[in-house]
Amino acid sequence: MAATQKPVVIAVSGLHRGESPQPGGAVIESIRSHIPHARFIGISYDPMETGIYSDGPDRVDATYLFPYPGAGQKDYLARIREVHEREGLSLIMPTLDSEFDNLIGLRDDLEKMGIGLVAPTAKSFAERSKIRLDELCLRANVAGPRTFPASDVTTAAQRALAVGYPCYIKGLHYEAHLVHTEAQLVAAFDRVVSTWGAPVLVQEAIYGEEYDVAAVAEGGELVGAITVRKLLRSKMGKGFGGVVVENPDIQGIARRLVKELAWDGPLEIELVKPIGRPFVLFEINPRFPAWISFAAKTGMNLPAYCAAHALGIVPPALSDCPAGKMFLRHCADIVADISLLADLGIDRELTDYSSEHKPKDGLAHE
Amino acid sequence: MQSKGTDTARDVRTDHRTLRIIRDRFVFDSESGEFFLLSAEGVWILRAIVSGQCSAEIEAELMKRYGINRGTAMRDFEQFKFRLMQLGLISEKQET
Repeated sequence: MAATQKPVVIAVSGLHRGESPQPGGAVIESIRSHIPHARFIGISYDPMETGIYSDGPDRVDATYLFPYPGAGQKDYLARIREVHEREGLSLIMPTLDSEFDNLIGLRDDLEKMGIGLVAPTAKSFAERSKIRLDELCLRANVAGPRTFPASDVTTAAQRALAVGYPCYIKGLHYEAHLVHTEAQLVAAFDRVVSTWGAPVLVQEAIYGEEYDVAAVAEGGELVGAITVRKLLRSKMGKGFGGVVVENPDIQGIARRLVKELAWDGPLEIELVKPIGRPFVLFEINPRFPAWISFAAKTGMNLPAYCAAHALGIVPPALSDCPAGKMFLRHCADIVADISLLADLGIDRELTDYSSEHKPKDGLAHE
Repeated sequence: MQSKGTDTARDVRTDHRTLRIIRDRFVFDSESGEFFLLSAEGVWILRAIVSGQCSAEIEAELMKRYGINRGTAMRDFEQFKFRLMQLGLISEKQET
């Protein structure tokens, strides 16, 4: 339990928990279990993000629509100022990869406003980018997939021949397509560039069991980590089920990576284990995975640890989650009234969750 | 929800793995996260190998338990041991 009753207002993004779930709801649920008096502000980009309408422990107390991160730092900061004037934000915990460029660049402005930010340094963030993964793998002595940037489709096709088909065509932040032929490559290249811009990444396809590490580091040292083997995957490759493992090789990889990156804050490390080969680093994300509330429920409340640490309040004790604990994602329907969607669309904010939207866990809205 | 196996789950340590055996049928490898459903006989053999029993002792026990001749016991045991190695549950170093 928190040792202070000072108003705590935490803004969290990534509220969608549908087919391609985002981590925000899991982060909120985890923090709320440790800091029950916290007020949670949803940073939303789309009124159809499901978490906006949740009345469970992952609910928000108010939601504000934000400009897409692609609009740039100026528009983003202007919206943060508006929300801060209304809500008095204590902390921002971004959970979407596309937000980090803007927010890391705004860290000084946020600090002047008295708002904390849970995000790595610009240097650490850049060094784990997909485009620099090869370099990081070499430094940390971790196997990695061969990856090449390509700004035009001819280069992409040449690179694909070098790594061999099938291979992945990936956006810098999001979207990955497995392509088996040059025709598929051209289509995937166009799709990724039209959405996320150039360059794209051409990456060797690695097949094997998939492992996912959720961790928190401070100054390049691991504070806590939990590793799962994916048991279920959605069509988009998202983990819909996992089982905790205790694997010294993975723990060693995680330690070496956070040390090389001098990492601060949350991160997700995705690994693949091909048969007869060492673990291959697939990706490092600068935030928690969408299944992080599972870790919190088994004694490793990493989101609450980060929030408490950033807010200067007593963090929860972290205990290792034993191997064999598993999670399975279970979809449920949320019932809400269309008027809430109307309010959000018209006002670009939803701050009056009415009697129709009472929390079901007995914890009152602040 | 409580599994019937919660109270009976036991960890066994092979030469390179920690395996949790639940209700004498289900084997969970806590390092790789992989799991297998074995027959009760299979689990008995796995336990015997891990406990350090030699091949001759295990084969003799198989002959006694199932009323089979030595040739059958040797063949079945070797095939099963090879399968356990393929699954990574025991290594080639695991002596029997």
